[in-house]
Amino acid sequence: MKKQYNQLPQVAFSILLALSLKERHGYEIIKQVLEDSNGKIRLSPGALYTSIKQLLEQELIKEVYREDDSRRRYYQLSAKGKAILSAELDYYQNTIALARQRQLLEIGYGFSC
Amino acid sequence: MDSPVKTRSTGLYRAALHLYPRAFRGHYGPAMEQTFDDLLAGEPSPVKRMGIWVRALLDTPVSATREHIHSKGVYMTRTAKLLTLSASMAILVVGIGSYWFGNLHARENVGIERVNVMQLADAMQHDSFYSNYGDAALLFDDKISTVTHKDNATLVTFVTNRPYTVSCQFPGTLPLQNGQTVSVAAPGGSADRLKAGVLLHNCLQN
Repeated sequence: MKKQYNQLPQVAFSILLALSLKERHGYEIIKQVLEDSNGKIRLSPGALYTSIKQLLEQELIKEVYREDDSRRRYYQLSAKGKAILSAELDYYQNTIALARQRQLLEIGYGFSC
Repeated sequence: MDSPVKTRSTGLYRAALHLYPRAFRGHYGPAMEQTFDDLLAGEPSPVKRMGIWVRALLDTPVSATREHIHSKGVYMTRTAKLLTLSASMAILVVGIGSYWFGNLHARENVGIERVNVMQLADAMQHDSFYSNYGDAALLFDDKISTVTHKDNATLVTFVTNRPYTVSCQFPGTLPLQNGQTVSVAAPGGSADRLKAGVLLHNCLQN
């Protein structure tokens, strides 16, 4: 099947990005998403765990049991999750390249690279 | 240490979690509650803690309804979103009242915790620092490992014999030395998590 790009909601994409470096529990994911988005995406526990449930159902992340911290649930990217994240990043990279090519970044479309 | 505000906040949030489907709540409820506690404990500013409350209370009915509908295999309409948002506003009013009442009590009950740096290092390593010490004034006497001075501040790292380190930032240039035992008072809420340690800001030498 041909790859479909940009198929993840923004919150799901942010969670996958937050898990790209290491496994994390809920609070760590929220902090990382906040940092990665320059303070623009501030997840509440409800929004986080409903998204996490869907990502688990889609097998994009896995739950990791930690004996030293059994009350918290830790999550890590699955192989499928890594592939989807990679495809999303490719999509954004191509989009940025296109924006540069069309000189959209220089004429005030709200961001700069 | 469970302060009255923490107990009250957690209790209210736990009650709000009953809006979620039973299966979802059974699986994710304790982790959501823990995450909510972590968020409150990690935020020293009362105003920003209030913001966490507002977001959580606004979001809970919406995401709970979405979860109910998602579990039945359909998606929320605009009307359903508006209805749940209205419900969340009502819950918000109750929540703010409870939070305010609890916070007033909490200010009368700020605890002083006599600890040692090993306890602080272990608490941060096991993610219980903010829930245990987030709203306490910490007092400890421990031996200095290293001292550095930078930007009119003194940074002291203590001997912990643990995987995690404990450091204190004192305002001003203090004449402290390696190996010296120093008595410290520090607000637990000022702590920053380091990669493998904890940094306490605004420390005072007793």
